[in-house]
Order: sequence, then C-alpha cells, then structure tokens
Amino acid sequence: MKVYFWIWCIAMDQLEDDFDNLPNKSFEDIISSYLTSVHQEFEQAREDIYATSWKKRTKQLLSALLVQQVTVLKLLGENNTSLTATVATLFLRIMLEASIKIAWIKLAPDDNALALMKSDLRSSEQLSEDMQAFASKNNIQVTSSIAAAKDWLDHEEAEIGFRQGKLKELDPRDMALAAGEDSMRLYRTFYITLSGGLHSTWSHISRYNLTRSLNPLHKAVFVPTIRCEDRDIIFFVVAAEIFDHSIKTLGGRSMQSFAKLKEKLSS
Amino acid sequence: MKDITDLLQQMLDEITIRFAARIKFWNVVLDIVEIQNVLGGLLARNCSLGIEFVLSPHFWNPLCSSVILRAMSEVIINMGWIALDPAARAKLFVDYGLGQDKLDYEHLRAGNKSYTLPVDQLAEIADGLAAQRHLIFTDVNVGTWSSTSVSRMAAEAGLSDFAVMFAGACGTVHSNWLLLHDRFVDEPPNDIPDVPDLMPVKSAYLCAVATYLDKAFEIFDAVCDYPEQDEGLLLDLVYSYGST
Repeated sequence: MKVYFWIWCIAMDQLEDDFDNLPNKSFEDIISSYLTSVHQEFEQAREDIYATSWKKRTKQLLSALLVQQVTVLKLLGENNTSLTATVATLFLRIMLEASIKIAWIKLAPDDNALALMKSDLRSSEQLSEDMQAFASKNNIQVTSSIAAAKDWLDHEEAEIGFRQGKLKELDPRDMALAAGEDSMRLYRTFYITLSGGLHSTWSHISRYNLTRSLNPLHKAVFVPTIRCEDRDIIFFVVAAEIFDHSIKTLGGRSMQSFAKLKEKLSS
Repeated sequence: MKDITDLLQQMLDEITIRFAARIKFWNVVLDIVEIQNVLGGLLARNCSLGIEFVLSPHFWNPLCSSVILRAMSEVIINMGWIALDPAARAKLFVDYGLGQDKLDYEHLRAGNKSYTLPVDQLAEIADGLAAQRHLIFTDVNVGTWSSTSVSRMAAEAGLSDFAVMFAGACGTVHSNWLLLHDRFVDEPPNDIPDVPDLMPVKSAYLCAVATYLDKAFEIFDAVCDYPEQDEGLLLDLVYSYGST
C-alpha cells in the first residue's frame, strides 16, 4: 500500500499521480514561473504593509515573516533535494507557524506585534545567558555573535522595554483560533503532520524510517531504514498553500499565484 | 587540500555502513521489538537527516543548518532519555505518535481540513491506523510525549550540552524576532526587510552533523551492547579533511 497512515498524503496522491506524468522540464518551468510570480506578490504585500499607519517595528516584523517564507519557498523550489519528507517537513513547519503569526498580528497589528517581539526578546535573552554559561563551563571564548546579540537586546530594551511586565501566552493553536476559520483550517490541515517531522515523532519515523521485514520469522515487524527519497512536488504545493494563506491574510490583493500553480500542475 | 567531494562521499559511506552494521547486529527480538523500533527508527531518522545535509551544500547556511541540527539534537535527547528506561519510554513515544495520527484522522473525518476524502479512502486510513492499534484503544495526548521539557530530559540523560544546541536553534524554527532582524533587516536607512540574494555557506557545519551522528551511534550502541569497533569518530574524519 503506497500510503499507509500518514493521512494527508492520501488526499495528495491523485495530484501526485498527475505530476508523475509531467516531463521534468515543464515541472521546472512551472516552479520557476511560480517563484517569479510569488516574488511580485511578496513585493506588493510589503508595499501594502508599508503604506499603513502601523508602527515601524510592526511593519518590519510582518515583512520579515514574509521574507522568511519567500526564502524557504525559493529554497524548496530551486533545490531538488529539498523536496523530501526528511527535510521539507521541517521547513514547512516554520512556514506554517509564521503564517499563523501573520494572521494573529493582523488582528491588532501594533499590540500583537509588540507582544510577539517582547516574548521573542525575553527568550533570546535567556538563551544568550545559557549560551554564555555553556561557554564558560566548556572554556570556550564567548563568540562575537553572543556579544552582538547582548548589545542589540540592550538597545531593544531601551526602545520597547521587553524586560518588564507579564508576557502573553502565545501558542500557535490559540493564535490560529483567534485569527479565524481560515487560519484554524490551515492549522488543522498541516500542524500535526509537520510537527511530526519537526519533532521526529513516532508518526513520522514509523512512516519514513521503518519498513516491514520480509523475513517470515519476523511476523512483518518494522525494521529501521535510512530513508533518502526522491523529491516530491507535493511538498512544494503545501509550501505554496501556506504562503497563499499569508498573502490573503495580509491584504486580499492576492495575484492568485497558488491557484495558477495548481491549475498548471493539473492541466 | 583534498577535494571536498571525497570527504562527502566518505561520510555518506560511513554513515550507511555504520547504521547497517548496527541494525544487523541487533536482530529482531519480538519481546523488545517496540524498543528496537523506536531506538532504531530514531537512529535511522538522524542518519537520514545527516545524509540529506551532507548531500545538500545549499543547507550549509545559518538558517537551514539551524533547522536540521535542531531536529538532530532533539532526536539525540529523545534517544538518551528513552535509553534510561527503554520499555516504558519507548511505549510512551509510540502511544503519543499513534494518538497524534488518530487526532489528525478525526480532523479529516470531521471535515476540518482544507481537503476532503471519499468514504472508502477514509476507511483505508482507519484500517492503516488499526494495523498498529485499534482506534478505540488509542488515547490522544495533546501535551508532550514525555510529559516533561526537552531541557529536563536532556539533563536527566546527561545531554545538557545538546539541550543548549537545541535551544539555540529554536529561534529559527519559531521565527524569533531577533533572528529575523539579524538575517533579513539591514541597518537604517535600508531597514526594510528583503529576500537575500544568496545565503553564505560554511562547510564547518559538517563538524556539528558529525558530532550529532557520533552521539546517536554511541547511545544506540550502549543500549544494544554493540561491541566496540575500530571505526573512529565521524568528527575525526571531518577534522582529518580540514588538516590536510
């Protein structure tokens, strides 16, 4: 059985079968044309963000979250070896969380962006202290990047005072729930599967790193296997769907890149 | 200096050979098959990640390496913690994963996803899940699989150094503002975030990958009493390339 129990893959199988018949060249062309269109979509969205009266940091955070998504999309689209379950799930999970954050920030842009920044800076400071303790314990010279991070944290404290006050509890599920039905649907569609890859749970390894033994004495038990699969376009389609959610959330001026991608791939 | 492709080929060969030797050594024993599956599967996961990293120089940048190395360090911490009480903890690991699969299936069945499936395909999925454990006997745990934090697991297993590495890479996965700013925002006046034309690559990340793989093999070897070999560390292999 091609698909065993990793659920959403079954839904994608038909799409995947359609792709199997595509000549390689047209496959590359479709991705390349999509990436060009995505870049325009991103620039348009960033322009819209900067045309608002939101605070500068809110604009920077929202734009940076989009930039990270485009960077990952480019990485997946331009490098064949990235489109495997082993690694693509990791990058898609980053995109998913960033997309949910964008939708949540949009609810109350300046307040929510500030809450996210404070939380991020607080954890960065804790990490910086842990890294310093680790460096002293192991007699490693503190690297310049830790020192630079500390300087920047002091600068941010002067700007937004992240060291004071109680932090908001920020959980991706709660953010998706607050952001509305579209975000919650995206969360429920992909979060469990992609988190399985990110955290290497049993869901992931039983599908990708274990195969059934062919030895009749083993009663078809699992046997650990290194899995280095062929690339699979489906991971790129998922990345495009997540990015589409971000763009739609931000302005509703979508250039329909995702819809066109699906149309081209299935025609 | 040697061609780096020689080093990469040698690393790929070594990872594959070492993994295969261990799986062959720890023959299937039905009484402890769950432990073998979990620890063997996690070792296979780390080897797969290591191989993908070695094969793909476009991952040798701060963003991609953080993501992959974080996954590898979490696997090591999980392996180390499970190894302290293999029977009970391997079961926890499997139970949690099956519960997540069931939850995902229930969302699909309830029409909560962005796609739907015909009834016969839903039944096929349910059968696939039931092949491991019947759905009515599968509990869904929405917390963490171990009911404790990664840093506590690491401390208990004597892997605190790996927990620091893990925490260091978490910022990338959760899109931390400090890292987003560091990677995508220039100094004023050009401080509007933009997509980088290219990300600088460093072969030094291979040292980290080699260290993580060495540790995963070490934990696995201790659990299955794998006899000591004269194979050397993968890290020494990478160093030997750098010194020639």
